[in-house]
Amino acid sequence: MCCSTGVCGPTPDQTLIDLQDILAEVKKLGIEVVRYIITQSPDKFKENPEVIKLIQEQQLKALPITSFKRRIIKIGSYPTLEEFKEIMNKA
Amino acid sequence: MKTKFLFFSGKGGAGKTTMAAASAMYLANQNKETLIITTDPASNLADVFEQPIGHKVTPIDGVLHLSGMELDPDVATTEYKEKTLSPLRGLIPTESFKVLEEQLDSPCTAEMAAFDRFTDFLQEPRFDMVIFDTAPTGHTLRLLELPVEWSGVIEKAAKDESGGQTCIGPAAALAESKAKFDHAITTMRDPGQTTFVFVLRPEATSIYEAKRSIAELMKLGIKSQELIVNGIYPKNACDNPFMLHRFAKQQEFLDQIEFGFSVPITLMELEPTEIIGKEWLLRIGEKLYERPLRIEDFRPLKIEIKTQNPLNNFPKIDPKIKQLLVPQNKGRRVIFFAGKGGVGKTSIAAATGLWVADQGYKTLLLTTDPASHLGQIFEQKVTDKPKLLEGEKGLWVAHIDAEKATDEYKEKILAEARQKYNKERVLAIQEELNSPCTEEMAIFQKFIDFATLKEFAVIVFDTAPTGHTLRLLELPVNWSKQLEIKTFTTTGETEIDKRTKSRFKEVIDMMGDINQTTFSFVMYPESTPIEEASRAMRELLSIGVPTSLVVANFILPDAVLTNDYLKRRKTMEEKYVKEMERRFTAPIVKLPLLADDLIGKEKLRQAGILLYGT
Repeated sequence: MCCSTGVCGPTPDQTLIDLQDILAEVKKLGIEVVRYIITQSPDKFKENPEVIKLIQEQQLKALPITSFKRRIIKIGSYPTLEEFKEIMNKA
Repeated sequence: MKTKFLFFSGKGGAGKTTMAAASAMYLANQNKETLIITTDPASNLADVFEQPIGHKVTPIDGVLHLSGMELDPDVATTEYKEKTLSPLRGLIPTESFKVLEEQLDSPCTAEMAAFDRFTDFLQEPRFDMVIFDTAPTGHTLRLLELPVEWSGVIEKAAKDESGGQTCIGPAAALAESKAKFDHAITTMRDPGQTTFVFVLRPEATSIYEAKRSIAELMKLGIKSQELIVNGIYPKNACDNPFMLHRFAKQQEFLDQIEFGFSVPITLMELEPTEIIGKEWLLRIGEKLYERPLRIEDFRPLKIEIKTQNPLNNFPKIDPKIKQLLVPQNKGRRVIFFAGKGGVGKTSIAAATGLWVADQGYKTLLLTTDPASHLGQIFEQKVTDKPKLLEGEKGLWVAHIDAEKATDEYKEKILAEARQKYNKERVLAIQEELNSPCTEEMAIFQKFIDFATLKEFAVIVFDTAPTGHTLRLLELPVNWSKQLEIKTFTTTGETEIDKRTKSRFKEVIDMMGDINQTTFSFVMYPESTPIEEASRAMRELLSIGVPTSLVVANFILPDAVLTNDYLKRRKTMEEKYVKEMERRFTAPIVKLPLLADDLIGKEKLRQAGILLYGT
């Protein structure tokens, strides 16, 4: 859907609503997360050759793709809060 | 003498396209580089200029300095998609690219794309004059509100630190669009640049609609307005009691117009033939601007209004027609009345509602037209909840109120959200629900609610003018597709998705089943209403909805053909009645032009009997 919670479509999208919650927590930890939608910000996808390569190999099933400091850290679904925390600890 | 931007607006069938095209011909003839652009998805511009125009700036054949364009929401959407996705073309696999294109096909994109293209033409340096021939009132008001709404949404999202997403993309990427929308707002509000011309007819509903639009435009800060009162009967055409009665009625309405509006007013007589083709348009343009008629010109004649004799000798109803109006096998029946603006959809729907209710069926009459005048013709207040019509036993009425539907829809989603989520999440959802996309979704959900209502044996739908009605009826199909894509790309199907899909399917199946649904087109015997209905009939058939009834309205009674003017109109009419018989395979029922407008239950009830029999 075009918006971040899916309410602009025929039904709200639970996954996106959950994600909003996680992102709010992550932000409190001091990481800035920006979510780009491929149909709205295609340039951001084009900028990252690794992202394009993944879509070439796995089609749109690769989405969502999460990258941290330009390195891909998760594909196919959104990271959980625990996964975000782990990434931070490593960094 | 004229501002660069001229908007022609008004109730459907008032003559917007003709007046806009006549003005365009006249201005081009004065050596002004002129563009006429229609924002009506069911445009008749090509019909009046007698040449294909389409979704690009097209020179009008044989006319120097004149170009036309028909803004096509589908093509605008394709362009918008192309522009948006072009960075990825060739980079990602074709299969994925296709899915993205389909995702962008969301109904929200279509509205956005058409409106985005519309604002382009408010910064058009190539032309001296840009004339907008707009869609009927309700949807035009929405189009004009959108720049204000989107500009607000983008501004708010830009300030919001949590992500700055809007329904159309991240706020940061939209600065350019916002500047364009703001420019559009400033231009439309500047009386030195923009004039709104309302075209109306001397009749109650048309006057009411012009008043409402003027008030709405004032709210948007658009103040420069003029009126053209079209379709005035010439004095010499009114030489028999029937026509004198109509002339006297016209006089009353002209008085109402003169005292009800404080803007410049020009009158235009009803021509004895159709206004099609460039020569005719230029002549009308010259009349309009060089020899404008004023209300005073029609003043001296005063006539007593005599009550017309009540009609009698009603025919028996044809059983084939009856089976299109009543439920079969204890089921339900849904009857849609569609057609070009001004053909009399609301009156016919109301007359049909009364007729069916009088047969003993519990009936709901519902309008989906945002500029509906159902309340005016029943002389009662109509609300968004079905209400038994005063003094009736079987007819309930309601309308879809866009604002209320939107509020209810938001409240319903938020109430669910409050039970499940914390305050922050609810706030985030609330923010997103304030997007202009929500309104269309809400209206559509309301339509589905009503269409699936089980407590009525018959539901009669009075619809908005063609273009927007087609869009509404295609939405169940389009949204079902979006749900399919959602399942494919993201989360898998949820319970709610399943429920929603099955509700959409119920409506899609119902509309396609002639044992449950009667889809009818209303038209009067002239070229543009017939063309428009034929196109719409084909489009509906492509989503599986057949047309099963045709109503021919405003047929001149033979008894009143007392002069050359009326005989010429009758000749034209007969040609087009034949054309209707040729184009539509569905049965045609006819309603004559009546001495009085159909206001009030008793006149409507009589019209129902005239139309169908007893």
